[in-house]
Amino acid sequence: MLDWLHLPWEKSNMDDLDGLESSLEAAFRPVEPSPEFVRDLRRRLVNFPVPVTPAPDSRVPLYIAMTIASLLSGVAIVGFGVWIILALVGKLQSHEKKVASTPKLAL
Amino acid sequence: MPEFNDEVALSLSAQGDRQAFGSLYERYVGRIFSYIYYRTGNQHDAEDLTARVFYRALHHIHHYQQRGLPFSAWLYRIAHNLVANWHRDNSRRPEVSLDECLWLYQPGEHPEGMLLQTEETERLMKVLHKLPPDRQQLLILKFVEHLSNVEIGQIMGRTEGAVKSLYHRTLLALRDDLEPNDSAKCLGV
Repeated sequence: MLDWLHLPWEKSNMDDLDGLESSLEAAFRPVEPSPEFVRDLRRRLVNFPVPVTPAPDSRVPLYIAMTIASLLSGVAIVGFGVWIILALVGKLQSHEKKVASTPKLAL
Repeated sequence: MPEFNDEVALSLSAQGDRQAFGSLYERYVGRIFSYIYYRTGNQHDAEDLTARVFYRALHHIHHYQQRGLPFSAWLYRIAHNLVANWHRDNSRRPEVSLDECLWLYQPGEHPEGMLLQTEETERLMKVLHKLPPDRQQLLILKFVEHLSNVEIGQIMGRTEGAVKSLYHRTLLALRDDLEPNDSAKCLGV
């Protein structure tokens, strides 16, 4: 079966593998299911309605929900940060205006 | 009971003809059972998984389309997936017991010779079951089902060359895994 790989210096190697193939050939005997099983399963497949198997527990909706929740959280955090920065800038600007509008005392 | 070829039986099965599906079932049940038996190591689980393969095939026969992939290859793929799930659920390696090996042998063989052969077979099987699943699959398809490299490639989704290469590497790994003494015994040296 390994005719595709016949290198002279690998002759003993090939002999080993040929022997191993023979052992495998002997080990793997064909097996047959019991006739009762074959008959019974055929009867069930042909005559009975197909049993409804529950759908596999898919985690895709969970992953989608987690992704959306993560995105919303991220947006909320970024929004909150921007709001704080704007508030600070606004406060600073109003403070500067206040300072600018205060009449300076003549020394 | 009417006899259909695969193409006709598949077409009729897809239209809900259970007798046609029964015809396909009878054609392949032995091969699928045999494949699963060697992957699981026991008859009970092999029968259970064989039934599941054909129920799943019946469920999805409408989706099967002949795109160069034979029906048998489709069934083997279903069987391979179910066996993989079975191994994952059981979280254990399959073991082929001595008793289970014995029933594989044909009656009429000399008992002593049969026992020696069984011990060698069991040793070989233990090493074999330590191989990765794709290598076990390859050996079973080659030695139990006697499929060609092209057919094995269709089932495993590999090219013929890739199957040959994997086969050679599998044999080398098997030989290395067998202890020198065991190897000599197994090889009859």
